[in-house]
Amino acid sequence: MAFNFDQIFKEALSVGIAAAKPGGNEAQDWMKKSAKANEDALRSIIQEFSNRNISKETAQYLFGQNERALRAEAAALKVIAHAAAQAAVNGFFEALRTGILAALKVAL
Amino acid sequence: MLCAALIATLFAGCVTWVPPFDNGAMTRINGLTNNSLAMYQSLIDTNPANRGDLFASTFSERWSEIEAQARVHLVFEQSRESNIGSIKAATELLGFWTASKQQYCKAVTDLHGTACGSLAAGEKSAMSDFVLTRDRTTLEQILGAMIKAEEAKKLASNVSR
Repeated sequence: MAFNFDQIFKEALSVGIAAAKPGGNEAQDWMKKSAKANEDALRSIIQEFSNRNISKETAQYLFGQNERALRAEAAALKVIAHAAAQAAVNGFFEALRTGILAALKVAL
Repeated sequence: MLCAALIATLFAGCVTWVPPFDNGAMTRINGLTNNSLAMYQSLIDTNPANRGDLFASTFSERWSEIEAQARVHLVFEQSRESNIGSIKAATELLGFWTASKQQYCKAVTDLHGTACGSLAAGEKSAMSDFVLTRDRTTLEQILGAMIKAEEAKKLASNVSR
């Protein structure tokens, strides 16, 4: 290989984990898992390019498509987190509302 | 007075960070998943030497139909309130699909064909087994993310009034 993929990947991952810090452990864990899941794909693209099986433009294209998948997965994760939080908050208020209304009925 | 204020607060409504689950959206995603993956299967099953030209001729109409489906899906997603995550995922799918077309057009050898115009470059490796299987995996990731995002809305819908 013409360049050190492992080193580039390691540095990119540490930048990603640092950027995910404000999102807490879950965001950082997702970043790690997602990057690891894509590592083989990225490595195979570099391998194909190094073996001259694909052009530089095709390698760039494949990296770009892979980025789209990561962005779509991050967007889905956000929806899942929001849906879970919404269910929790609304469930809490629903129970609270029911309880207080029942208590008010008795009191009035 | 206090009771009235308390009741008003209690009935103020639920928080809405994601829209309710939409069966229509899931049906559209299912359609996109079936059609796009079937398209990839057809391309992978085609002799690599003929892929570019068949892409520009036989497959171009189906490709455009799926692109239109992806655009329709994006428009519907954009019309739903509090739906940024799904809009983002649908945008990535459309971006993937249009970028793929440009990439595969490079494999077209018939430089006088109309479907790919000036993009045709006769670059066979632009549509090699490696490129197609890599793209299919990426497509599965994007579609999977869209399905998970819509399914998650069921969780929120179960509690929302």
